[in-house]
Amino acid sequence: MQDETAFRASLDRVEEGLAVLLLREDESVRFTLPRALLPQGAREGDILEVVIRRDVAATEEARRRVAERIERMRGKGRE
Amino acid sequence: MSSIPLRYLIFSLALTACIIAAGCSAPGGQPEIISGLPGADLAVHFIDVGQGDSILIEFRDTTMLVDAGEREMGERVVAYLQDRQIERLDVVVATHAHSDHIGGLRDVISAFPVGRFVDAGQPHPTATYEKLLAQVEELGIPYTVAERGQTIALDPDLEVMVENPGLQPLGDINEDSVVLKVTYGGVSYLLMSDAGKPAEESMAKAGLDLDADVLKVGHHASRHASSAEFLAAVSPAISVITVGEGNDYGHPHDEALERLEATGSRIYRTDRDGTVVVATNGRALAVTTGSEPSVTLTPRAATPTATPVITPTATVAPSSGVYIADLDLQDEEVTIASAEATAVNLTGWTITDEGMRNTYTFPVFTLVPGTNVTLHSGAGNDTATDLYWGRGVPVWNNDGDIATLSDPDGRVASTLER
Repeated sequence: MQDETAFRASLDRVEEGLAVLLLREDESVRFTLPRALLPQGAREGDILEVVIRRDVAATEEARRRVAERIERMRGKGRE
Repeated sequence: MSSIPLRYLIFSLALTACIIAAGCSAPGGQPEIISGLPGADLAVHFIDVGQGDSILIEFRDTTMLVDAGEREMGERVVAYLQDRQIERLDVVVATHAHSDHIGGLRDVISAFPVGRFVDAGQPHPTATYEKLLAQVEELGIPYTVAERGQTIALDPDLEVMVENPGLQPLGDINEDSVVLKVTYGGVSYLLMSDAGKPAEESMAKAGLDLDADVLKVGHHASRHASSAEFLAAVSPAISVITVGEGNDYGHPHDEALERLEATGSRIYRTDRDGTVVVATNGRALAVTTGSEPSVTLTPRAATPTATPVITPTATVAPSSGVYIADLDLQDEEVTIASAEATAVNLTGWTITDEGMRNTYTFPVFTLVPGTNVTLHSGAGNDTATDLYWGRGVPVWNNDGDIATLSDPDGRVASTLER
């Protein structure tokens, strides 16, 4: 799907509250996440499934909100 | 298995005997740290692989590699070994399965024949580790899981002892790292990998002789390693921190650095010094850093520029309150004083004469505030106030000479003309 990816990563280690993750498919790709964002039960060595989904509705809603605020402030600025 | 010559590796579980042997081979007292060491038998290279570890041990014509940094550092390690004209590795050690230690090993074992693979043997489920093990198996490299009390026999004159993991693993990959103690003559190196305080306590409890002259600081100088109690037992003259500049974890941590500094040890860091090579002839130590010509294990002509300084040009040491208070040409005495409010570690500092014809390197020595130390050219027993160069002939020219005091980086702290 265009709005979603899913991949697996190995939790290689946790250093100073940072989870060091290695992309299973190519473990030369390394990235970190705050440990607090991982499920509490996650342990070193675990294989994690990572799903990234675009929240299209929330994005649209936030964009609309910000645009409205800009318009409102712009209006006030002209008063 | 039978094709692997046994002389490369003889494992022994005679723990008691090993402890006694280690104790005997490391008599009290610190070795002198000197400038340049032509003809050293043992060179330990702490290769700069950014955030991670890779250590090459060369002893005469034998070689051992301990870890190889992250995956992308494999090529750098291979290139470093090729530059050293290394054609085979007698032993490769994977201290533990984290990627900053084993990531580069696949490149290495593809590039060189390996006599034996020594592993921590913790079943870490990463693909990095699994593929490495698969490759070791496919290549038919003899495989051993390290355990406290084993000895890796590279050469009859070199003792390599496994200090960790203990017989009862601590259940944490870092704490169950392979820790090695390498001893040649009166000089020992303790390679801590990522072992922290629990492993330190386990080693102390096991009654191991932890005293060492060179310490590969545990876990990139994390605050969770290098406890004060442990450092007191090791009392290193030289500490090497393998760490990447601007790493995500804040290594080295200030707390660990402060504890290391409190020991009076000289500290080297791969993020600042690049690759650090500590060589020995079994009595004295010499350090080479960065892009300088590395130590060779065969005798070579000593040149004045081959001294292991970090900065090639002499610059004034900032905020150093140590100075040459007096130079007595007739009595052959130089007096060094300190205006610092705290003790100053002069270990590795040098005194040179005009034209740098003669160089004296301070042994492990701390100058207490408000006191002076006098360096005598002749022989004698060093004390807190008097040091002896041990020269049979005068050093200072009675017609006039210049004494120069420099820090271990070669930066001039003070000069005095008489």
